[in-house]
Amino acid sequence: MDTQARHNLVISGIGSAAGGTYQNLNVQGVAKVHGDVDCVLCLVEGVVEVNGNVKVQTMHIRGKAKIRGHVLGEDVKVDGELTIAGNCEAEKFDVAGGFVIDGLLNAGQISIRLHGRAKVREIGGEQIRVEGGPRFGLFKRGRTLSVDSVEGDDVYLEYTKARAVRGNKVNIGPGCEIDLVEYRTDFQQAKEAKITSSQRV
Amino acid sequence: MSLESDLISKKELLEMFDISYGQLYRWKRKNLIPEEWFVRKSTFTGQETFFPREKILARIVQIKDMKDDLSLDELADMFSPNPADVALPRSEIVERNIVTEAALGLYVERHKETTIFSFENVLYTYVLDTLLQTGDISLAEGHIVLQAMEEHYDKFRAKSGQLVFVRKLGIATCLVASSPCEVYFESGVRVVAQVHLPTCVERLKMKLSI
Repeated sequence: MDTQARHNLVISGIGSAAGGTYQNLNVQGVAKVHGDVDCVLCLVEGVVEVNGNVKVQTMHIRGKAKIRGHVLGEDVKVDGELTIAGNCEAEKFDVAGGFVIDGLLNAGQISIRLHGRAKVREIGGEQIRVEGGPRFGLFKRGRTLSVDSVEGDDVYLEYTKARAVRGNKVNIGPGCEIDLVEYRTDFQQAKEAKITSSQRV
Repeated sequence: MSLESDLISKKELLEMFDISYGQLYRWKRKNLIPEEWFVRKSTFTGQETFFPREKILARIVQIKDMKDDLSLDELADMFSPNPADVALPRSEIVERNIVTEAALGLYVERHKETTIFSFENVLYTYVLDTLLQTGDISLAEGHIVLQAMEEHYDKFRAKSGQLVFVRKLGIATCLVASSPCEVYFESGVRVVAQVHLPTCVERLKMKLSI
C-alpha cells in the first residue's frame, strides 16, 4: 500500500521522533519513538524506546531496546537488553544478554546467550538454542530463562526454568528445571538437569 | 462461547496431521493461521493452547494440500481478504467482534443508512475503536475521528498516513497527516494519540481473514 519513497530516520545524540514508515532507522545515542514503526533496517547503538509496534526486516541493537508493542521482523539481533510488551515474531532471533517478552516468542531460528535475566511467556520455533553465559560466582543467580513452555523441532536448553518443553529432538542441558518434557524422536539430558517427568509422544 | 467439544488441542492437532511444532509456528508467522484461533485455556497440565475445531481442521487440510504448489506467502494472500471484496452486514461485525459495540454504535449514529459495511467503513470504525479501547478519547470525541477519517483517508490510500488526536484546554481535535511527518504544537497542546494507519489496515485485514 505504501508506494511513496521511504526516508531514513537518524537520531544522533538524544532525540525523539514520531513513528511512521521509514527505510532505515538509525540511532546512535538515546532515542524515543512515538507511535508504530515500519522500517526496513533498524540499527541502534545505545538506547531506543518505541511507544508502539515495530515492523522491521533487520533489527540490530547494541544496547537497550524497549518496545511497548509487538515486534514483527525477519532478523532480530540484540546485544544487550530487550523488552517487548507484546509478542515477537521473527525468522531469526539472536539475543546475547537479557530480555523480557510479555507474550509469545515465535521465531524460526532462536539463539539465546544468557548474560542477564530472561523471561518470556512462551517460545515456539524450529531450532531453539538457549545457552547460559559465563558464570562467575556472584553472577550465577539471575542468569536464567524463565518461560512457561518451549516448543520446537530441535530444542537445546541451558539454565532454563520451564513448565513444559516439547519437540522432536529435545536436549536439556545444565542448570535447567523442567516439569515436563515431551519428545518425538530424541531426548538427552545433562545429569545436573532437574526434570520432573519426560515422555516420548 | 465455545464448548469443549468445539475445540481441539494443539497436541491433538499436531498428532492428527503429523506436523511438527516448528511447522505450526512457521505457519502462524506467515499468517496462515490467525492469531485469534489460538485459544489459551487452563488444563490440569497448565496453560495449553486450543483451536476452534472445524476451522483449524479445514485450514490445515487446505495448507497441506496447497503448500507444495504455492509459497507460504501466496497461501497467506489467499486467506487474507481483498479490501475490495469486503461487504459485511452490521450483524456480522458484531458477531465476529471486529469492533466493540460502542464504536460501531457511534458509526451507526452518524450513518443510519449504512447496512452493509465496506472495508473503509469498517476501517474508520476500527481506528475509532483503537482510540476508545485505550481510553485515550471519550465517546463524545469519537465523532471527530470518524469525520476526519471519512473526509481525508482517501488521500492516504496509496501512502502511509496517521491520525493525530490532540487536546487543549479540554477541547479535542484531530488531524490526518502523512507518516512520518514532523509536526510541532504550541505548549498548550497535548498530543493524546497517534494512530499509524497502515498498521490498522493490516490488523483489520487479519481480523477479517478469519
